[in-house]
Amino acid sequence: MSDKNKPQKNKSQKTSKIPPRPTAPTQDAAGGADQASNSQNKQIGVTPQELQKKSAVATPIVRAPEGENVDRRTFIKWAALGWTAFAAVIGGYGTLLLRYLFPNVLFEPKQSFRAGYPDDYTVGEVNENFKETQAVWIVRDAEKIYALSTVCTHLGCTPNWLESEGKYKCPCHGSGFYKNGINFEGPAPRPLERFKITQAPDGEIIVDKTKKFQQEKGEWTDPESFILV
Amino acid sequence: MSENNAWKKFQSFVVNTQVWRAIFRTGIPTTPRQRMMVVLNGVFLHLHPVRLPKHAVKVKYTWCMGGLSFFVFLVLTITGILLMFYYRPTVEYAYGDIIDLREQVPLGIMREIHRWGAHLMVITVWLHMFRVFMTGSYKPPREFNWAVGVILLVLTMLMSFTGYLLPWDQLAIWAITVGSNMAGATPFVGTGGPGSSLLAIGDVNFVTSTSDAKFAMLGGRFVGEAALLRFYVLHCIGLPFVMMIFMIVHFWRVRKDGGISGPT
Repeated sequence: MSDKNKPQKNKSQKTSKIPPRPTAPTQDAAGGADQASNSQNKQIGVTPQELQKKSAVATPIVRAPEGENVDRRTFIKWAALGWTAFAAVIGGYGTLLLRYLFPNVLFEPKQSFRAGYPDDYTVGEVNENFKETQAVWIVRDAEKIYALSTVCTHLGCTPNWLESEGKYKCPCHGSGFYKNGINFEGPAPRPLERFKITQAPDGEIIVDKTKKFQQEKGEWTDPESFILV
Repeated sequence: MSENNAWKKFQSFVVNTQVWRAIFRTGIPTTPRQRMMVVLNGVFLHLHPVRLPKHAVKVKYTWCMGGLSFFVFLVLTITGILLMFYYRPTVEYAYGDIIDLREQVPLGIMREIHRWGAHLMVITVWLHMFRVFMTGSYKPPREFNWAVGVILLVLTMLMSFTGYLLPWDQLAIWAITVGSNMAGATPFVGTGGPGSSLLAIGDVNFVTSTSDAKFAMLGGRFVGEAALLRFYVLHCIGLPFVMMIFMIVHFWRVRKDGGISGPT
């Protein structure tokens, strides 16, 4: 390769007539060779005649062959079928991909837990035993026990129970909630949520976090949202 | 004189070897056309236009913010790959590995370069957008590229968001908790969002805490192991991949829409 191009390259540096790209694609070289000497043509290996021959051969491939014309109806029929199949495959894969994003098995803590017996809680207490592990406060007032979510209804941070001030205070944006979970200050738009709380046959308290009760929807009167004591 | 001759001989030998000619197809460019061909034939050189308008090199007009954004992106790619050698995206190791990257790993500044680079990229991208807006370069024929740029801005933000979780400290976990709760409030596809209860047949609700947008994002109900892995993959592979595709389109259209914009 380098031997072939040597003479051409040297020439191009001396005279300006020669095509400026010594190693340009064959067709260009052949085209430029029309003006150049014959000896170069032979070296490059394609004569203008050969080039014409080549293009003559290539033409029928570009044209649609006669006799194989499909009529409009058949073409549209097959095109529609093809595109429908294509769309179905893409849509199918898309659906599978979307489903793939939702795992079947979660490596997360169980969403219900046993929380001891009603006598373990004193009246007026906000019990924080399950705050770390379950994100739940167990609150006992004069007549009932309920499980309060520790997730701030503003943006999901965990408020702190401030015993002396009698309120839950969120450290993120300053939302404040009364002991019963009702919001009264800061950006929180609604009260804390309560969870389903029931008693096992032996009287032990079971908190189920998959079912929640929201005050603003009037759900705190639901008998599953508290235990009467 | 003879030395010079020997040098020329050597030079001509080198430029005529097959290796040299295979790499530099155009030969030594001596004419304007050859110079142009050199630029057009090289994959890296052809990223630049063959010729530039005079105003294109005036830093005062463009601030070079687009170029700087891309440069910082490259820095982040390289440092990011290097960080991946040491960082393990698991709840057990993530935070410790981040500390080790500073305290134990040679060149402990690598993570800081990545972090500061990330901040810088957000700044340069915003300034780039600001410049494009102030010079009116979003107007036709560049309106399509403006839209591509907006997508790139969103992708830059998502890169910041996903990268934010990886140190796995309190700031990271709660920031992503807040962020993913917003996803949970998406209309229709988030459990907390308006209209989500409409997507139901009878008592069966389709949008629950295990089937909404937040769940898909975190791979779980809370920011946990699955979320960390998911964000790691998105941060290192998924989003950069999408970003590069849009960057290719972005740079291509800069050229095709009339080159870099300048004062008319």
